[in-house]
Amino acid sequence: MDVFSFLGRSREDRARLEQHRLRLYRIAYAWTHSAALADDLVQETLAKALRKSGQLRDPNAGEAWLYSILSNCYNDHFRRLRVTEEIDNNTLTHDFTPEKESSQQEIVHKVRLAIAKLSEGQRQVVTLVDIQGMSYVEVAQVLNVPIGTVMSRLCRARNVLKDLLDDLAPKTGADETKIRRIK
Amino acid sequence: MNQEKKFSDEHLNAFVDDQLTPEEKEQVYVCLSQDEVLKRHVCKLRQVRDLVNLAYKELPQPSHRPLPAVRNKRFGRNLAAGLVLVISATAGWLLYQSAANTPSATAPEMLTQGAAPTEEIAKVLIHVSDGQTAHLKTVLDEVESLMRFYRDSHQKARVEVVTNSDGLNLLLADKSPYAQRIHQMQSEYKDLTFVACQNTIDRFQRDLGVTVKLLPGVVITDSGVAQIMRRHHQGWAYLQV
Amino acid sequence: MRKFFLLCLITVLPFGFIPINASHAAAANKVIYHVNLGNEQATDALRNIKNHLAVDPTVKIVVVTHSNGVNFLLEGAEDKNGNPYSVPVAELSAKGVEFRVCKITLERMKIDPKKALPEAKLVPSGVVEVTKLQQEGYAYLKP
Repeated sequence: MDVFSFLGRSREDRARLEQHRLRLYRIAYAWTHSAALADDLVQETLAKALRKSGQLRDPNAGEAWLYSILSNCYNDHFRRLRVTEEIDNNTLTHDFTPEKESSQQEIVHKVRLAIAKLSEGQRQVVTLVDIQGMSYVEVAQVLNVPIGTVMSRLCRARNVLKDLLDDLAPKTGADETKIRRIK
Repeated sequence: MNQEKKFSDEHLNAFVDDQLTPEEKEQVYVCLSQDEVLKRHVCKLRQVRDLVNLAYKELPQPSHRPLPAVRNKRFGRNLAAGLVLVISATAGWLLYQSAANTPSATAPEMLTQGAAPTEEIAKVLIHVSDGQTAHLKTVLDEVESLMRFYRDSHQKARVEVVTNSDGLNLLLADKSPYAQRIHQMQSEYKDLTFVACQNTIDRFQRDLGVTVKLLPGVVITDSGVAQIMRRHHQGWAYLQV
Repeated sequence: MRKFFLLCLITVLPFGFIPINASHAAAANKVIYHVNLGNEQATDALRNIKNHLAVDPTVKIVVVTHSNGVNFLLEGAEDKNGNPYSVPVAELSAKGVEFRVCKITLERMKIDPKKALPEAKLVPSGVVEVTKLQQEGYAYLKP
């Protein structure tokens, strides 16, 4: 192994992995609801991925590989750390205009609370699908469970969320329903 | 009448997530055009998906840390690298020996030669196991002083206050003498985390027969001592206050 | 080709390696004594340090103080029996023990830095000093 190509690949790998940082952080945050923990999780994931990148045959291997490292790190260390109820509005940034701010913030806060109520397995599946846009096959690989389990967890998760977030439905939909019931 | 039974919930979710084959998708579309109840159900599923996506669009900023350098020793399967290990270790040992024979003032300088890049984040775990009110005030004074120091010197830092044993009193919702102050500190310093030990929580509940309720934003760890060890392995500094 | 290879590696690697070896070997022999609670703790610390040096004369000891832990390092400070702290501090200092005082604490308690014993060195923050020393490989002790 030529030492110069060895050092060069390391730099490339590091740069390529860094691009994934924000997306990994988004999922890690959705799982832990703590910026500090999510940051730890991502840092550990990227460090592990960098070490393992020497074993990676295909440098363009899908994200599933990276997220399965994230999932393993989460299981190893971070499942032990869980946040109690969130501080009001503290975890939200403030990019919104003042008028939009309170209602948008409220929605985000409600949704996050609802997600916190899901079981771990359900939360992981629903976030990987809804935030990361992963296919069911990829999620099955990442979490190392059968695809049937992915589908049933997702189903249950969305049913729970549907009930918890019922009052967040847009007005038109709700009205339509009411009209039908009166009929 | 209840046409949604035609498709299982799993199938409808798969439709919403575009995980069906074109033929299966076509079947669902046909039914949707004829069944209002089904349409509303699918709509709701899509809403839930969109809400989840929305909820994590804006995030509290992560601190950006560079990845550690990959050390050569991790690629020890390379024989030449193995040889160099021996050579360098010997060189290092020889140099250390010579450093040990000179006044101790030189040794610390050698240690900081491989100094961290300026982006290094200070990581500090503060361990609290004494629960007396006066002591808890000292803890918060010191923590605040520390966070202010880092902020004033523009040094990125992560600070974790881990409580176990009687130190848990600091974080009890109904008992903590400093609930307001802690809330303020949590709002002001994003990289400050208060941590409660689950073992201690269990013991409190067992011995006092009460349900323990913690202040908002507090993180629970399985065992305070285990958390201290984990952080130690991750290179965090440790202090008992 | 092999010689060239080895040559490259030899020139590159020692810079990464030596600090690791040195810090690993020296870490066992440097200790922080963290004193922040008050004179009682300080008395315990001074006694522990004396015993520590008796067992291991080569150990490098740094006493870092802040909060109520600074009091024993001020001029005229005495323990509960009326013995001045300046005596044991001077003795230990002569054996290489260092004493560091937190500037933030002095400012908060409105103490003139000149009132600190001559052996005591000022540091910007006692807590930060403890973390910095740990990064340099010092072990941590809380008397």
